[in-house]
Amino acid sequence: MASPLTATPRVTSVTGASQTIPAAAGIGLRAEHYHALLQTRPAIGWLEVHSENYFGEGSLPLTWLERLREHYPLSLHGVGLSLGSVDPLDLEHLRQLKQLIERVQPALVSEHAAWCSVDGRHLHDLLPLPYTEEALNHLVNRIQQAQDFLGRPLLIENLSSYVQYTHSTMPEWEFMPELARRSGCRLLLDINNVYVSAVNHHFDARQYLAAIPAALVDEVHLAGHTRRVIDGVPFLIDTHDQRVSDEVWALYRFAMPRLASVPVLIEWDAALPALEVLLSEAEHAQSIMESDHAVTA
Amino acid sequence: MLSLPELQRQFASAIVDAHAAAQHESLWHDTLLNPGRLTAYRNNFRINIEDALAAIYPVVRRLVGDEFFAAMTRIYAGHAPSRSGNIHHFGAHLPEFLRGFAPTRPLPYLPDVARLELAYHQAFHAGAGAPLSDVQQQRIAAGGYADLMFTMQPALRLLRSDYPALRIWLANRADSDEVPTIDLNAGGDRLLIYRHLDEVEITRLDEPHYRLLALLAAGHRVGTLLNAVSGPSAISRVIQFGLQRQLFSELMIIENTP
Repeated sequence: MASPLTATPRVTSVTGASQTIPAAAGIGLRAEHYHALLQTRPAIGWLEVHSENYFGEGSLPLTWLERLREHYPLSLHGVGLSLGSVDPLDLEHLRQLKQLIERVQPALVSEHAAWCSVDGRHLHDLLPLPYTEEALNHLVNRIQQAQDFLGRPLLIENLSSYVQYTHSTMPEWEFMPELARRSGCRLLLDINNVYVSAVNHHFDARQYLAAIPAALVDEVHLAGHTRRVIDGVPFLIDTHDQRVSDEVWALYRFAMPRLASVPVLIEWDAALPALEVLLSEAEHAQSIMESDHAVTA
Repeated sequence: MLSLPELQRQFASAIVDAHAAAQHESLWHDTLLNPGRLTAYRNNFRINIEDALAAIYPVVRRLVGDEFFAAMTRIYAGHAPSRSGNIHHFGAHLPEFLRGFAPTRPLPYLPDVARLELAYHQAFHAGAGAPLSDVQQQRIAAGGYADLMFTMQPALRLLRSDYPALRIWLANRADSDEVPTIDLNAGGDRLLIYRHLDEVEITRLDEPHYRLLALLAAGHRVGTLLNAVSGPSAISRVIQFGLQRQLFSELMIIENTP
């Protein structure tokens, strides 16, 4: 007969910092900055991490995240749920996300208006949907399934894209608000993505921003991109490997004061700089939020 | 106009296979305003899977070189397409892939090195588990090991190699300036990979202790091992070692078993 000795109860994470994200600038957290952040504890508003990096229960990355969670509000940003895919929703992925949510008590949980997989094969990229009623209905349905499972609304982010479908029937700046209205999700407005797509597809980024109701937006992303010139035409790639460009800062200023009370995040995922560089970008974003005037030209 | 399922299938095939995209050129001219830009997605795919594999296998990459590693990644992705939205799982089949991969046969130790890197990566992303409680530790200290059965911490991995994988791995880490001569015929390793505090630790074991630990990890009751190995003192040493390194996360007492 088996008799287990007293099992050690699993300790749920003690979340010291607030469970709401302040209307302030935050930074994307990468493993390279764990030590520096914990040692210096800069006065940054909040942190965001890629959810999938913390799916391992009790993993070393999760241990670090829980320590940092003691000091900073947190947002979980998913890149692998593949909400726009025609495959069945990955319940195991959702279950792991739910477990992580319960453990680290994030203020915000976000994903993308993208598909990443088909027929069970994952491509590990955020791929664009056509902007049609068919795609909109599909994505609304999937977001609702995920929200029901998680018991909370998701924030859904607009993509950078490199191609446009000929059969799209509405522009992205109509698709995204409609997605929010029908599914009950909130929007994560990535202004760098708006700019990258605007240059690649020759639309007016300001028209896009003006068309997004501020009341639907719970978070803003800012990041760096890479500029190429192909056949004499500028082509932008969403690389997150450098400072936010002047054009994107100008668009962020243009969005003031409408988005002045929306948390803003500096994303930097490749060719990581020292923490100070990220903090200075966040300070810059913070100063624009607080500038209290819109630049209109 | 493609339906959404058809569009995703065709798009995916165009990303993973440049020839497929070329074959369906007219499809893309009908479907996309800018079909030439599919290349950007192809490049992203290539870079993302290569980065994911390189993050787990930096030493394998160093041993074969960057260019070879990039080409190998594409072949591996065709052989073992990613089945999870969590990119950390993508490289899990590389060691077995390498065992059958003819171009790396001149480096017969490569699958062993890959197994070690994978075990290290998995230990990093698995839990240390809670250590045994004081009560449990006292029970062990009281002796009478025969009734005990252990569960190991989730991060624990045991690895037996044909080649000296640990020496090759240590000598080829990014922070190593060592240029040692490694005798490939020196025999393999018996390694314990586990979590200790904030680190992944690797310890070399001798054969009897490796065997005992592997049997304990497989869930055998200690009493069933007494005759299988070199006697009670070896078992006692392994249990003490496991306690010191916090290898055990659960203890069961099996009473009245003949």
